[in-house]
Amino acid sequence: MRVKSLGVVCLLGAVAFLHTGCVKGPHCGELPLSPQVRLCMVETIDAMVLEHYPFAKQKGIDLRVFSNQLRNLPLDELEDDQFLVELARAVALLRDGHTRIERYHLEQLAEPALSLREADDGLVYVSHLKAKGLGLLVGDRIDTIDGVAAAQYLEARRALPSAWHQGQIGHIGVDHMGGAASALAGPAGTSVVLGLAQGHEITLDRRNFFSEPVARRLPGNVGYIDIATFGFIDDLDRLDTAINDLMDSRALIIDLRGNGGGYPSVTDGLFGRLIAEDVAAFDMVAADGTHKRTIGPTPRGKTYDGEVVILTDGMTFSASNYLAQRLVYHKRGVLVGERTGGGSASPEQGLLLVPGIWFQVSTYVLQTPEGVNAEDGLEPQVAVSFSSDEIVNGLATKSAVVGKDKVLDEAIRFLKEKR
Amino acid sequence: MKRLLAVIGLMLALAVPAPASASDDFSILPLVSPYFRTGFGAYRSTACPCFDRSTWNFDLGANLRWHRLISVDGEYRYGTILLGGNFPFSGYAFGLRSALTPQSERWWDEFYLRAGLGWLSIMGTRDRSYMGVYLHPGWAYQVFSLVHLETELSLSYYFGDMEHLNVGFRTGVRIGF
Repeated sequence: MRVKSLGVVCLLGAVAFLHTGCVKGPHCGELPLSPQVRLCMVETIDAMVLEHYPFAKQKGIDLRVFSNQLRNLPLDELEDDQFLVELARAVALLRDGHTRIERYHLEQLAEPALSLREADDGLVYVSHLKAKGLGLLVGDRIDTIDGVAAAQYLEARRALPSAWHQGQIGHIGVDHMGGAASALAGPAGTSVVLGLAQGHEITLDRRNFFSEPVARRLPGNVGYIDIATFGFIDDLDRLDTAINDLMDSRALIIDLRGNGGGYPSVTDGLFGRLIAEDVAAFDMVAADGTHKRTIGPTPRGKTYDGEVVILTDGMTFSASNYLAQRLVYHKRGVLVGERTGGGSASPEQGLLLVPGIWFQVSTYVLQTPEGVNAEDGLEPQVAVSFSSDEIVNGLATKSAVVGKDKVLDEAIRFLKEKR
Repeated sequence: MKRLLAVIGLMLALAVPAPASASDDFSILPLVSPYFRTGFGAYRSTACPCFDRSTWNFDLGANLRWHRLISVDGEYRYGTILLGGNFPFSGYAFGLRSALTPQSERWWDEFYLRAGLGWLSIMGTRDRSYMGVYLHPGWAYQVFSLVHLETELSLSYYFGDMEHLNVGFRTGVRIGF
């Protein structure tokens, strides 16, 4: 009986271990950041970058210079927040969106119901309103955000973005890379204060959750699917439903503007609905040439065989960049819009430096069988750029309204010409 | 869906309970049997529709038995959906279990049916919980006096945004104290 009881206890223990995973505490210590903790953070980042960072040669980065700059950070002069931003800026010298420091949130994130866009002159404008009654208009100039100069605020938030790690058994969620829209993200229910050029301030609540895929039919029987993120695997089922509904459309536009990525499983699943035959797998290769595994889509369900266009911008990053790469590589469609944000690595090495601060480094590069990666972005076949006037007038906005969205209009024009 | 109903109907038709024997006494205090099972399943997405995923599961639970036809199961389920990567899930299931054949001295002839409701939380989804139903016809092999090795067919259907059918098998050990 004792042996049997022991067996049951072992089973219970095994399940409990599997459920909790290998959750570790902060690697370097606690807040507030002592000089010793800061030194640990610097040394840890330096060691992980030296061991794993795969793009030094491709991007022309001298890792000794990076290491020196990192280790020259003052360890006892700055406030904690300022030190973290400076640390994140040093990491940003690697010019790799996946190798980054981010604020780690267990609670749900949200953003105000608008997007901002930084024009070439460095001024920040409202580029898209996702709800009515905010007291703003597209084209309004924003001078300050939470009391900080708008461009400066966005730069700091890009350097140290927020990420939501849903649940307790893994590091998942939504990528918040670089974009001015997601730079306003924060814990749901909090607010952000925008200072307008007209001289008054507007307080906006962070209520807008990262939206589900939206599908509809545009004039001319063109299907349109807007995908804000690939950060949720149940969205694959929503995308399947959207493809089913649009199966008889003559062409399909997939809008990946602002999509910071997520799970390649979802993009492969979606691409699997666009192909009828098996395609080549891509390789995941480490900095030292170690081949980890391959990934790739397989045909799934009924195939959509019409023309496909993907709309892109600089925030089309990581998994969405991978989908764009797949489309081009297999000649299954064309890209229309701005150059993608790139991001061809899998950041599989990461740790919690101190409570709420996560560091991760690109570990494996995703590349075609020919050894080509899309880390530095993809240039669309139909490239679209914007003047400051077009930005102010909202034409650079992802409004998905025909006639008011320049990228969408270019895609429709391309499809008409192709016809 | 029609195929699923046909499969369930076939199983119920094959599983007509045999006449009760003298050993099938009703007990007010239930007999408690902890169990562990693990298994594999093929996942058919309703939205695709296609078998595009697979699952592994590990279940730990207990059975309370008043009569061979009347017993209840409660179990914790942990597992992973394989869709390119691994997406862990966890959840609970509660249901009824009936031994379809009477108690016997023979080690090989206990067939049973388990059916009930389950709830799953899947990592990486917007919805935090999915409800479903399950039907598990199985066969218990008595290894020692208290230890049964059980193997069962696993049919489950979950609803919601990840509506899907899961077909597979499970095997494990039940310890009948």
